Amino acid sequence: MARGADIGTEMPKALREAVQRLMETGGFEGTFTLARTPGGGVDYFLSTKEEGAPELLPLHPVMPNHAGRLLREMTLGGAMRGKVLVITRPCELRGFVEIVKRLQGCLDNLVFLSVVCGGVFPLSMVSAGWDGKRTEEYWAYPDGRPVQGLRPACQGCTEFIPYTADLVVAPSANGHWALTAGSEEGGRLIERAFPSAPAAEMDPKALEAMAVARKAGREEVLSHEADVKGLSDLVKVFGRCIGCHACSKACPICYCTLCTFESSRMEDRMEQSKGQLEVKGGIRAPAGTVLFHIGRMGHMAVSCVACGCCQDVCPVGIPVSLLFKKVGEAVQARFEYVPGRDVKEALPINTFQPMEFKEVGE
Amino acid sequence: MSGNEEPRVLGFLCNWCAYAGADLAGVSRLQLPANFCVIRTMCSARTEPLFLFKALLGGMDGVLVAGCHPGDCHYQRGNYFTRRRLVMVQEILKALNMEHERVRLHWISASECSLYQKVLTEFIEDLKGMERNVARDEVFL
Repeated sequence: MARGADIGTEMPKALREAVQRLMETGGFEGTFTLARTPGGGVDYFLSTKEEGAPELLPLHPVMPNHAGRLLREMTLGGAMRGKVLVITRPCELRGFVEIVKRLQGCLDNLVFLSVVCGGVFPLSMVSAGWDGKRTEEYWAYPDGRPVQGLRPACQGCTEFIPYTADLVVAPSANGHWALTAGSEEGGRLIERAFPSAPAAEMDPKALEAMAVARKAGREEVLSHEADVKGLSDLVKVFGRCIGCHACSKACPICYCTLCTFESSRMEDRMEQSKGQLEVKGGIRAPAGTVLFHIGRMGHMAVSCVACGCCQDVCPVGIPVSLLFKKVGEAVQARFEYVPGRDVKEALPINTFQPMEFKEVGE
Repeated sequence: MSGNEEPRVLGFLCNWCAYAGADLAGVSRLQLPANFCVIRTMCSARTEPLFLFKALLGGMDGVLVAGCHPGDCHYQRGNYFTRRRLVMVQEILKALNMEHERVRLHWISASECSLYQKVLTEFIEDLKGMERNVARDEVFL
């Protein structure tokens, strides 16, 4: 791996300056990152000109939208026209890689800057008014100090190091931060942007400490509501579901514009439920809430990156992301697959080995 | 299952092998369980995970997916994909602590009518040893 550059200790200011320098020297047409929106919000912004651009907030600790989902929409018709610096969190990058594997997006012309991720806060925190101090406190996370109030999916995230990013912002020794290269292109960009900055590297100790904390966090978050024991528990967990399908709208993997769960096939006509009514003496309306969630697992669990967006948008507070994380991990482990690890790796359900899984099917 | 209650089983049989095998079983006058419904699919790979979940949540006690033996698929490799899909479905059910034994995959060729009979009878016997599918009485699905 190429050398990394020390960018100092003052996050997120140092990061903003580093992005500025990369933009000036890297020959980018634009940058795609979080920015302040009117009314105190934060959302993604593709900025191509410095004048008139809103305040850019690269890697601000919230995820208003999944960047992978947005990039899919932007690149579905073809590659981005000029070289764009995309600043996202690891799970967003992984989600986008998964969608590119499904031929719904294009990686060309995109240079990714990602981070050894400390997680993000729930979206509700932004709506409630963002306290600037929280940002500074947040960036101390490699010290091992637990950040309070992160999204549950982030508390238990063990995939916090990006796989395919060109540039990685990583904790370095003595509380410093380093901009390290994840690819040759990234190395060239660093050399051009920071020719005289002191060299720095990822601090393996900090990564280890983070991994230990996250593993403990994972056990913790998966042990409560997500610990489903059969259908009766599942009915309890999804009992609050109002069937708004916001989780699938926010999901980076759910890309079908004609979603089967929103088709007339899933509308429960009285004709169809006649038999059910006779046997059970009543049915819930809207029908098929559990089917929707299990069915969605069947569609995207192999690629679930456990980003937590589904839970963030759930209006009734169902631990959707934890359930999907649990199921996703189980499925992915069976296929020895890590979603978003490598764009060349085939999706487990789109490939096969003739001699495998002989125990299933006799 | 309690009393004389019979489990209900749904089968997705591929047109070229398992369905032809089932047909042969009928023609050969083999005795077959009556509580078994068949849906014919052109290939076992047509069985989307959603079908299986829908059947289970709809109250079926068991779901059988049957197709050509590996390597014999009429569409060259459809059944390999089916196998991976079934692995996925079972893994999802396991992760949710639901009874993954209710979903089965078998390879039955067009000439294996006695195998078809055996698979079906065994599956139904196994299901008799299990509780009745709770989804049958669950109203909040």
